[in-house]
Amino acid sequence: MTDALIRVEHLKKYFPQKEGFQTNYVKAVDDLSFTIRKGETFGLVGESGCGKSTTGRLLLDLIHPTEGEVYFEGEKISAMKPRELMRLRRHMQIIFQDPFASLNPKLKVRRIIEEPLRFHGIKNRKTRDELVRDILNVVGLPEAALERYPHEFSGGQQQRIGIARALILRPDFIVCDEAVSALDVSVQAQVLNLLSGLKDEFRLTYLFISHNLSVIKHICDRIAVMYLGKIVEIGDREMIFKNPCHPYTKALISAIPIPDPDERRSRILLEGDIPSPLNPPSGCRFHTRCPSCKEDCGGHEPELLEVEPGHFVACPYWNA
Amino acid sequence: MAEKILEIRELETHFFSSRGVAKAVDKVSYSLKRGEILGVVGESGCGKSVTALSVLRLIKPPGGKIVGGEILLDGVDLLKLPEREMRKVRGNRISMIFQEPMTSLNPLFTVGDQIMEPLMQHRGLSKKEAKEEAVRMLAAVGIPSPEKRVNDYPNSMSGGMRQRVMIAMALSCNPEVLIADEPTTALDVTIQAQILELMKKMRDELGTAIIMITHDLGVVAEMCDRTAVMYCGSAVEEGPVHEVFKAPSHPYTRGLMMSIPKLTEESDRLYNIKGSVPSLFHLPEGCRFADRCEFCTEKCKKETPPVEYVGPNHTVKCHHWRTLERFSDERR
Repeated sequence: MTDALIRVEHLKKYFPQKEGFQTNYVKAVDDLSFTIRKGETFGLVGESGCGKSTTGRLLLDLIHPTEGEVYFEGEKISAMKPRELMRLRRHMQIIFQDPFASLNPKLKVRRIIEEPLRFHGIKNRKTRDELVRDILNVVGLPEAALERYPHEFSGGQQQRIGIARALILRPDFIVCDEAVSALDVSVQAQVLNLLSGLKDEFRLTYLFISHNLSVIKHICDRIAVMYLGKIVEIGDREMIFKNPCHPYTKALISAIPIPDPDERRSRILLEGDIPSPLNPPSGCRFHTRCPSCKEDCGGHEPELLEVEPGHFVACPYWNA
Repeated sequence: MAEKILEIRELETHFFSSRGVAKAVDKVSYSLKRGEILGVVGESGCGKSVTALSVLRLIKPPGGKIVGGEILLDGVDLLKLPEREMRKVRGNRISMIFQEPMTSLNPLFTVGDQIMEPLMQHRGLSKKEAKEEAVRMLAAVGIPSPEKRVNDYPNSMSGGMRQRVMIAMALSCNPEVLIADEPTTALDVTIQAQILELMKKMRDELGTAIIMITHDLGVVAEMCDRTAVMYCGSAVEEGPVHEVFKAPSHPYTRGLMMSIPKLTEESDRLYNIKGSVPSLFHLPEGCRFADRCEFCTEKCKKETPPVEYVGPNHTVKCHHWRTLERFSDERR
């Protein structure tokens, strides 16, 4: 595909865990390959510990992969010199889950938002001031906000400050790591609308990480479902929600409570807990909880199979 | 059995600080029938948890105080009971489970010890009997090999397991009312589904009435018989889940329903309620939702709306609910 903004090849991240003389590895991300196309919103969804946030950080090189490569517009990120990487960072930004924890409480909002400009060498104070006022307007904060501190704002407004900071360098790519998860529903709707508006205005590409399938469905064009460090299913939004093929995706979708009392669905209840990523099950990682597990599922690791154009599933029995 | 087991009438709980008085709960009324699941929904800071804590009288002065109202458990006002009597209610007739199962279990005692405590305290069982009962309860909430797990410490259990332990503990004395404060918010969806299923099963088997506090409208729709919607310390709408979801009578309820992304519908933009929740220290006069409401008129800014009956079991606090009803009829 020529229009790929980000290409990920066999990405792995293992975190060492020392126990006495023994070192075990948490396989947080284990052999991911996918591409994010220019201008799309790509969703990563999964439960806690599935490696979705680690993947987001790997794409921005905030942590280094154990193995594998990330390409940004065809350029290998791992091969870059620090200077080049710094230049590249202007084009990729991140918005975090907890808006308050990601804003320095000792700095005024003006300083927080202009920090990236200072870092990237925009010395002229007047230019900076103009850019900051511009962006403040874009994210819907009053100008009076500039001279105030983060704690004076509500959660939704704090998230707007975080978004302003991410946007000020006019990036191409933004990772939204659970960006609306900490917000109340009425505010969540405001921020989601803001994010989709900004995407059109600034021609952004998003990697949208969330555990909330309804939010993912609302905002994403393509979706990858992760389970214990692996992608189990990947495809366009309609494919994933209308025709989920992996047993985990099916269970995940059926587990979401629907806010409609008339909607009565048969629910696939998974048994047991998510296994520890320190000691993931052999073969298909989902086989210990899978309602349609076959004898050989624990034996070999399933490959991603193309079940329809652009729709891949890591389960040999998806059709059964 | 349509009899009310718990009735909250005009409850007022205030918090006092140097910044002034925060009316966290301001004349909240709702009731719970035997064996029913009532969903209390609202955004953070709307007073849904404080109401629940007030029921158990767990709000302690000087910080916070229940300044008015009645809480009737089977007709007896809990606010008038001496502390000694109140202790016989907590964990026995009314028990509670919390959002974060780790912080509400004591890390220094085994889960067995913690389930045994209320059994020995309230039901006067011997240690041996209590242990047997604890094992039975753990089995009932679906913990595998309960006779071994009873000797485990909370840290060796996963979030879902801990919440099961909390449920076992809360139900051990067969309470009439169980208050569940965001019991599944900290859990993953597949685990949430398990816990919700378990709570429903326990209600069916034991007949416990449940107050389910949550911000997730999906959980309410799937679990509850009736719902109370709270905003800024006030219960703005209360009624059967089906009526409230299908024909919301308060503009806030309506806005809330429309602003959640839905799995079953397609939409480009979400409806959003403008503005944000006002601070409890500077509540507006009149209707608290007035500043954010599409249907707001001069009257709303001056007069606090009274409780009005939309149906026999359906109440709303809004001057304009009739206009709104016409509006939703047209939409249908």
